[in-house]
Amino acid sequence: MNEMKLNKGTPVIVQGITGHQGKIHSAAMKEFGTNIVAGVSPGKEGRLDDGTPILETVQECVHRFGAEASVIFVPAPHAKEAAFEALEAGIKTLVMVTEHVPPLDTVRIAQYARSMGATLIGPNSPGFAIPNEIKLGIMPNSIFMPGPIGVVSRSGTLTYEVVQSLTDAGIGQALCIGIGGDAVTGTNMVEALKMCESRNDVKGLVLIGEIGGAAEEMAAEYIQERITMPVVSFVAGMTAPAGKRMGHAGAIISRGTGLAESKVKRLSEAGVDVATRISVIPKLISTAIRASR
Amino acid sequence: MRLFEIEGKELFRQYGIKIPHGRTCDSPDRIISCLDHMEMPIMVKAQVLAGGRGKAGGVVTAMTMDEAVSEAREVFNIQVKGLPVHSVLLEEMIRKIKAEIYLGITVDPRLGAPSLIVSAQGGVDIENVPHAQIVTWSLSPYIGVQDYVVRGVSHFLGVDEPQMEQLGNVIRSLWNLYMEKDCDLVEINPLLITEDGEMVAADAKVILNDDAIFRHHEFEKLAGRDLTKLERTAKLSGINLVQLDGDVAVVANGAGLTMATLDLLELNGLHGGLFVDLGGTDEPGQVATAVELAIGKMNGHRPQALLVSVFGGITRCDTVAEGVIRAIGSSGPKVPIVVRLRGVNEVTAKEMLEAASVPFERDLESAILRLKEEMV
Repeated sequence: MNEMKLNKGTPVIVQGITGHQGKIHSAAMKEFGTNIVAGVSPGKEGRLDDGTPILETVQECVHRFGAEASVIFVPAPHAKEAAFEALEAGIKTLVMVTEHVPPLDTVRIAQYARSMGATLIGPNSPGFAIPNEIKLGIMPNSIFMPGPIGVVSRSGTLTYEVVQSLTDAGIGQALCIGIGGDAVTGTNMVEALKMCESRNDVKGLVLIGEIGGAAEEMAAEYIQERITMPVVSFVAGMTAPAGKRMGHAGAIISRGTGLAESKVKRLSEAGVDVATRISVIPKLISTAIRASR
Repeated sequence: MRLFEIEGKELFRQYGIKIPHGRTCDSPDRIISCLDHMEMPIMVKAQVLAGGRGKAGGVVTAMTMDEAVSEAREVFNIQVKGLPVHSVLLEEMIRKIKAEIYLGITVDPRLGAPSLIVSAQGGVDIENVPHAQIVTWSLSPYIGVQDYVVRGVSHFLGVDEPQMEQLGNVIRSLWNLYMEKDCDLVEINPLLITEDGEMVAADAKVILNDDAIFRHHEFEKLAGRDLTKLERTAKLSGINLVQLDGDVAVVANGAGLTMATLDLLELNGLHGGLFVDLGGTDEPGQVATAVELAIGKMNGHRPQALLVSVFGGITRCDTVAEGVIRAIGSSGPKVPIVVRLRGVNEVTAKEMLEAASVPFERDLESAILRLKEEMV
């Protein structure tokens, strides 16, 4: 995994910038402070109303603007090609917002990104944000405030809910990573935890998981072995029935695996404070940080 | 999307994996004609889109023609996990079996990559096989099934040299099917190895990935057949709906928040009956459709209450308010309802809802407590 050095100055492009979501969120990202240098939308060369250049290829964006990161809104049937195009052009950070990407496409993109020393976040990711610096994705701007917490999540709106509750309680965030709700993700939970840890300003971690897969179990193993700062977690889907896909492609209890109870148990064993209600997360993390000083 | 065994076997056949001779009987009236000239004994196998058919009596052997007729009739009458039998497979029984092997390919969530799963203990649920008797090989789409994998698997299974190539062909065929048809799972359990050295897939489990159906037109007509009627209707409107056992419908945005809301209901002594995820819409019409679906009939009766739980972002709070008001209409809600909204345009939304006398809350836990009061 490459060490992501993203900041206010990082030149960012948006693939699929002329679509409804692409347009709205490019504007929102700019408002957040992200340095959006251009967008890509084949056959639609020109400019957006706000002046953002629209180019034909990612390669042109790299040549003309030195683009380093890309946010992908391209619809699922073409998302794989968009990701390959970005990787081939030398983009080192990819945030894929696109939903419903076939998992075997994700496997191909993720393996290729890894071999190129690039980082893929997503697909089906709400994005990545460092308050007051940069946001790549669709998280609402208003929920953030800068501070000491690293937030790692498989969910979108649930993340906004948690971040908002932290902000309401006066607890800011150092960064927030939405890894996405699919069964296969470019960046897994452990890698996202490592990204948080690599920053000196992170003093505590909030991990938002859900049923399905093994991300939380792997995170628990890693936390137990390596992480010394306080971690608070919440796992959605305690009451979800087996065999039903709960919206996210990855959120399914099948063949007895992916149960919320076993995730909570593993996280608790690893010393993580598992909240049963979102509303208590701010209190748990602030108490834990105070106690760890 | 799960396929019937017969559909899976047809794919196996297309990919060069040997399957037993069989006939599919789609109605109890046709049992006798289907059995015409079949050599006994045979297997009688229920075709049903659920696991656990063996335990439900859906897989039986028939030694004689009379037995075959009566067993097939009985198999048509069973249900597996509430699902009816679609058809019955009447199939040659493979004999002189030397070994029963398990072969499966699926994404290993720990590796984030496909994994070949192999065991010498075929014929039983792989979940019940001890870990020491299972071997897995990670497979990359860029590398596929190389010879070292086949050698490794053969060594593990104790398959001798002359049969190694044949086993390699089965594994490669299974891999090609898995990749080319975008499967979530392909499973042969068991793969029979006969004393004559033949390898035959006695069962087939194939689950196609729902998100990849767009590039497999041959499967498009099958999409949604494993959903309930209500779930299918919702899906056609782009709404993610899952039927649950309780009596409170939850309409929220995003899968995580919808689940967390259902969990919080339970902590407060209420039980979720519907999971309705609006997704990332900002259309009042879409919200209205979701609310109408939610407070319409589910499982033949109405929910006892409706909780709307939205964190406004892409989906703005005023859009939700407008959709809810539209769905309820001038006659007012038919069930107790509380709308909890937070985020983009929540102040406007609050004014709209209060003007329409719809209970509004800003905090999720307060909303649930209020709903509880409204339900009394």
